[in-house]
Amino acid sequence: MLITLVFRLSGIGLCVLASLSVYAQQSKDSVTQLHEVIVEQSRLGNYAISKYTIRVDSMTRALASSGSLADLLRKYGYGHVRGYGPGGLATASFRGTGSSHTSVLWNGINILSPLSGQLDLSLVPVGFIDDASIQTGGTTSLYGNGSIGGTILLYSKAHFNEGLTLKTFASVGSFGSYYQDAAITWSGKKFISSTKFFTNQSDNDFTFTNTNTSQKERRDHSATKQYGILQQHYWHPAENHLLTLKLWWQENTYEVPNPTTVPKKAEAIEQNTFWRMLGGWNYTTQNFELNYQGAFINHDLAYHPSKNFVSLSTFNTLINNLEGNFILKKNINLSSGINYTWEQGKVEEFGNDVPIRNRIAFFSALKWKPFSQWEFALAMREELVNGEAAPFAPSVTVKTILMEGLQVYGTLSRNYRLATFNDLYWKGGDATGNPQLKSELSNSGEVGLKFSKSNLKNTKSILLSAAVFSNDVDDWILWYQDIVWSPLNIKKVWSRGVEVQGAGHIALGSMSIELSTQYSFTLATNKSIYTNTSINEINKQLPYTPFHELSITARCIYKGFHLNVVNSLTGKQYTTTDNDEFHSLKAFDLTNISLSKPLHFKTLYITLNGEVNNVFNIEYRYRPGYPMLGINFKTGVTINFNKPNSL
Amino acid sequence: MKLKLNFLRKFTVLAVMASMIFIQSCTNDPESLKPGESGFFIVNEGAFNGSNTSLSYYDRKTDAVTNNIIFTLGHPLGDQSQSMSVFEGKGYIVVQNSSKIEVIDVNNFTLLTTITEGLPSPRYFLGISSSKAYVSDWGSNGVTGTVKVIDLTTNEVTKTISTGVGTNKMLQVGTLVYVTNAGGFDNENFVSVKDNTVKVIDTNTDEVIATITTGDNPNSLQQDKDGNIWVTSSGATEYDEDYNIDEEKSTKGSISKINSSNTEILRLTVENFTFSNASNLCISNDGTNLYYNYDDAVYKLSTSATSLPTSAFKSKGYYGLSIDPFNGNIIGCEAPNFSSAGNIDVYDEAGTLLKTKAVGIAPNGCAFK
Repeated sequence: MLITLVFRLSGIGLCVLASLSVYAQQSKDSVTQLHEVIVEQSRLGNYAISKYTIRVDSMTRALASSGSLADLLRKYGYGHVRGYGPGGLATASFRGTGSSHTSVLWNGINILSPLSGQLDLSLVPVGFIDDASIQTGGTTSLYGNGSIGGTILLYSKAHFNEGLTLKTFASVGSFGSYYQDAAITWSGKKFISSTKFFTNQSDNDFTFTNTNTSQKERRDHSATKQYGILQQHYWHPAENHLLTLKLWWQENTYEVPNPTTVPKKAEAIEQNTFWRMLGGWNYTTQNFELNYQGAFINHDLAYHPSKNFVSLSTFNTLINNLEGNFILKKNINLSSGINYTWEQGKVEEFGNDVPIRNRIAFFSALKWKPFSQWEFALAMREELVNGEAAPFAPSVTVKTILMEGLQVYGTLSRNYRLATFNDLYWKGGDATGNPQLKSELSNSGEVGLKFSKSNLKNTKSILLSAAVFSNDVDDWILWYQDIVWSPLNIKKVWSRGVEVQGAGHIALGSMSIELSTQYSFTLATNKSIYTNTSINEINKQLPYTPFHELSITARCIYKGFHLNVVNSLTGKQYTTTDNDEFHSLKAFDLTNISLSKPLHFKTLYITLNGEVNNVFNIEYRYRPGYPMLGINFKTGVTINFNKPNSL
Repeated sequence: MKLKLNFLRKFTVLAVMASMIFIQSCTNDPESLKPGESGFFIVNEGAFNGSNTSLSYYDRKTDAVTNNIIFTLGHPLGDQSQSMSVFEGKGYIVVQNSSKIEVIDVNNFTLLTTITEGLPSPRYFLGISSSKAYVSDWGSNGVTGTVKVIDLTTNEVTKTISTGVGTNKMLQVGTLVYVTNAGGFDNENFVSVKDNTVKVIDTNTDEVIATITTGDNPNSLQQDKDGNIWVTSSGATEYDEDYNIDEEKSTKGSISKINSSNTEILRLTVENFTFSNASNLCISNDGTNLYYNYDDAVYKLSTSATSLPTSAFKSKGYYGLSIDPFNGNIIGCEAPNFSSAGNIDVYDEAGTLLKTKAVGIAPNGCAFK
């Protein structure tokens, strides 16, 4: 299915543009298109009438399908992914905010851990995601908790009446990496059943130069292993009704290496096991749509610092989301809804406490287009957490079309992040949580423009978008050491910067060339003084936040061959809060090349592909003491079989 | 501004180098300088597993600190420098989490050698003679404390003396070395293990010849002008399953006085259970006043006292504490966090703050040339 779509897009060579136009189409016909392609999702994204969105198109996903979402974001320079070595914990940060300021929604359901406020993106296999986009900035306030820097939206897609599809993909790569997935989908007129399975492992025993000893060494105790299953079912019991059920189970085992400055043999192992269940019901009429989703998430983290000891932490989350979407007039859309979330945390270091949090959120959004050139959107969310009000989160956006293909917009918004369970309830050792913590609060604004143009035959196109943003985060929670470590709402950060993206394509006979680029400049400076010594940190760039990030992707499609070159530059990063140059991480520039060739035999599609990553064998780090892979290779084959339903 | 800072930093380095050349050229016999007269090193521990430990140097003539001293080899120091000792013109930087000792020439900061073998978790270095030194070590599991005997001619570990749990600071008195056992954390079974002994080693035989019982988890020690040895012990805190302090099973911090017959003749117990317990014992240059950390403050105790002081000398907690042997100033090493530079506060004996200097991340002590 995915590959079929890839072929279609390859044929016209319009990945970025096509996906953006599809998105625009979705906004326009959000209610009426339901029977064509099933994207059973919340419609709240439609109220971000103009926003800076990074769209992870299907071609990009196909080329990264043996990796995790963290690998994909890093490779293409989407946002800034913080983390340790390959396979370790990886979190995304956008617009200079923290790792827990990015919410991640799977089919509209927030899957962040209430314990840490984060989602480890190395636990999201790209092969399980059919559609992904990243929305940066304040327009995400409708999504509520945690959407201060941006929101990663992950979706499943399905098509009715496509018959039986079998697909398998296997790849083998350097440093003992193996990946395999298999999917079987039966798609009838009223029912779709799909089962996907994947397994992924890597020894990550690469060689690197240990800067501490100036010796070449082989990385030890850095292996990873993952496997999981995703089942998805769609049922049309009647024309206006759609029922969905999804089950996602996954187990992940990581060896946790020591930093290279520590010669002691590492023993720590981290095991994450989770299952996520999502049931949905959509009811659609001409001018009204009702969307209900109920989800349950269970996530166990077993951390084995040594062979004889394990520390367990578990969270359970129950989410109910009911949303009504109304077309009030031809030019007015309204969505309102209620969300009830129940969260429970069981952590050894919480002692006898098993904290539970009940959250009820009310949200509403209005979109109004009084004239053809002007559009307004107003959104708000208010949440009660254990009966107490979280900060009110409104946003307002104005968009106008200056000329054909050129639009400008401005947005003001207020977002928040609740304190995590670890912040509130931690007890172990010399660190104590603080039950009095307030939510973090951000006030942000941005102005941006978008320009797109293509010729009539769609053989040439160009797309440019840019945004200037400013985001003031207050009451940022910081673990502060007095006699013991304890979190306080004492940090203030002003983050501002520029984001630019451009894409263009040209079709020359049977050849199609496509270029796309992303650039961001981020100044995220600390504005808080909480002790006489923290004066060294005032106005300093936040650690692990590069000022500059740039990626350029070039694609060429010719006679079925598909060449993809990605170059991504990550600027210098400070590792200390006072921006000590000595301990900063130097900038690095990575180049990855991949080549694929599809073969087609009746209903059987076979794609061969090979890739070379870090072509120039650059030594780089996302964190001191944690080297990343040098030059590495991967080759794979995809086999796709489709037997259409008899008509 | 950044440019200016860079300029200042470069200027400081040049100034330090120039002054060192000046000292070297004008002083016929550098060995005749008193300890600390030309300056001292500050050990910056850095964040655990953060690979950002560093060394700073304070030059007394220029009154300037040079941070991130780079050795001629050019590699960073490693992870978690616990201490540095200056012995016979060489600086021994004990880098605990990197399981090594970097040996530098204290006059020109060049790296002489690195001792990497046989030191799983080293803490402190004590020079015994031109050919011998002791290094306290926690052991790879955190609770197998030993004293490693190092042959300074080959820089190899020649003997391991079993001492207790969490072997920490050491003190040489004549031919004896007193060794504190501060208790530790068993990193294989994840439990705290306490100890309450100070071991006495005969430096002629490198054998333990006596065991002195003190309060739980003795961590640092000093000898006063009368020959008594004073020891701070942090006590042992036990928790119930809900992480409340189990007062029945816990012991409070204490300060012990041991006479020359190796007998504990006085034990003063602190008032509160606290995470910041009695530690970092220092003594004034005349050997009459003790300074130590307790409950996020610095206390001063006369060696003739029979009870603990009730008010603090400085109501500010320090991560490390040292006494300048040159002028008797008290140096508090402040670590506001483990992600940015700390500083040293220098007080005179009356407690007046003389200066504050920015150093590296998490300074934990000083070493005097």
